[in-house]
Amino acid sequence: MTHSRWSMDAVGSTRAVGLLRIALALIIWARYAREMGLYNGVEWWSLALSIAFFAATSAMLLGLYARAATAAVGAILIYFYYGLGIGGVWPLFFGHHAYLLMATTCLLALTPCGRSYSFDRFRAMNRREELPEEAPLWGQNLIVLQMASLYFWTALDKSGTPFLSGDRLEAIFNWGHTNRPIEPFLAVLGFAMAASVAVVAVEYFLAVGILVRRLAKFAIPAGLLLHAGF
Amino acid sequence: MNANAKTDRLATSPFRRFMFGGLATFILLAPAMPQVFGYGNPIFRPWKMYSIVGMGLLRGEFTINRNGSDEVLTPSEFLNLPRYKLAMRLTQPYLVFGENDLRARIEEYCARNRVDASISFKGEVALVRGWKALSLAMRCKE
Repeated sequence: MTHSRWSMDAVGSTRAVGLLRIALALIIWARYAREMGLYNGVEWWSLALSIAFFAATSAMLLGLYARAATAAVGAILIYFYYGLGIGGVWPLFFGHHAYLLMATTCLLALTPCGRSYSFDRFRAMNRREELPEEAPLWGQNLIVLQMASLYFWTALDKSGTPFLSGDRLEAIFNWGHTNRPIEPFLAVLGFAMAASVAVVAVEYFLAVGILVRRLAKFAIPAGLLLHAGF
Repeated sequence: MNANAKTDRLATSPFRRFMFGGLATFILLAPAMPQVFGYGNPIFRPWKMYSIVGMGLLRGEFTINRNGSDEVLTPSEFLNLPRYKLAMRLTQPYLVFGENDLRARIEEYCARNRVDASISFKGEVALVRGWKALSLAMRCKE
């Protein structure tokens, strides 16, 4: 019996969540490893946090007790966001990037993310245990919903005169491109307004496009193009 | 039955349906609290990417009159910033949100360059609602 992707009983390949586990562990290192370096462990608790961070993220990357490791990383990221970020210890730990990493990691822990591309799989094969690469997808669907929600609400935030008139995008260009090679191109009359309308249209499209498999072939390049600009 | 099969069986339980429904509702609707109803907190956070980036930057020109001759500078030249620092924070010392901030930037310029001159700015400042006209003229050592 087959189910649609959004059915509660839907099953599918675990390879996507396996790859996402690896990618997230690397992104988490890129974002937090500098602050979590052992040299920053000036007190016992912060040294213990650094050790726990690298132990859990390494296990997550390798897929060693993958779900437990991912859940542990999720718990650490919750502490980063609500404890250190909001608490003011590390203000940069409180932002939409930090929240998205935290939420996605926590949701990933609800998926069978250790069944593919993992040390767990390697060990199971050595023991000749069955480890099917097909499993329930509901956790993965929540990650997709998180992305769709993000694009919808950020598009809604931009759906007003200050952004659609080009004013806000022009200020963003000013901030990022002043005295840089492409500054003259961004100053072309009407460019900021046209780009603003395009950004909002793409974000609304992505909110729907990533939910519908038929639209994925359009949504993926549109998303890559959008994020190349931002 | 191995551990993985047990996990899969658990995934078909009513608990999973309850958890999926609850989380999906939260993910999709929680941003409405701050973005529609204006009530935000760390749990119900908005998705407003890039909403503060670029805010507080100036567009226009500074004119420095020294000994009767005018020198015109762009905001980045005046602030001695070849490039704005790539940090998405409203606490950067070069940002201007009104006349008081602009006066402070001009005073910093005067102190940095130890000049006795008349300095004026005519242009706009980027705020959340768009560009807003801003102008100021003052003299160093006032």
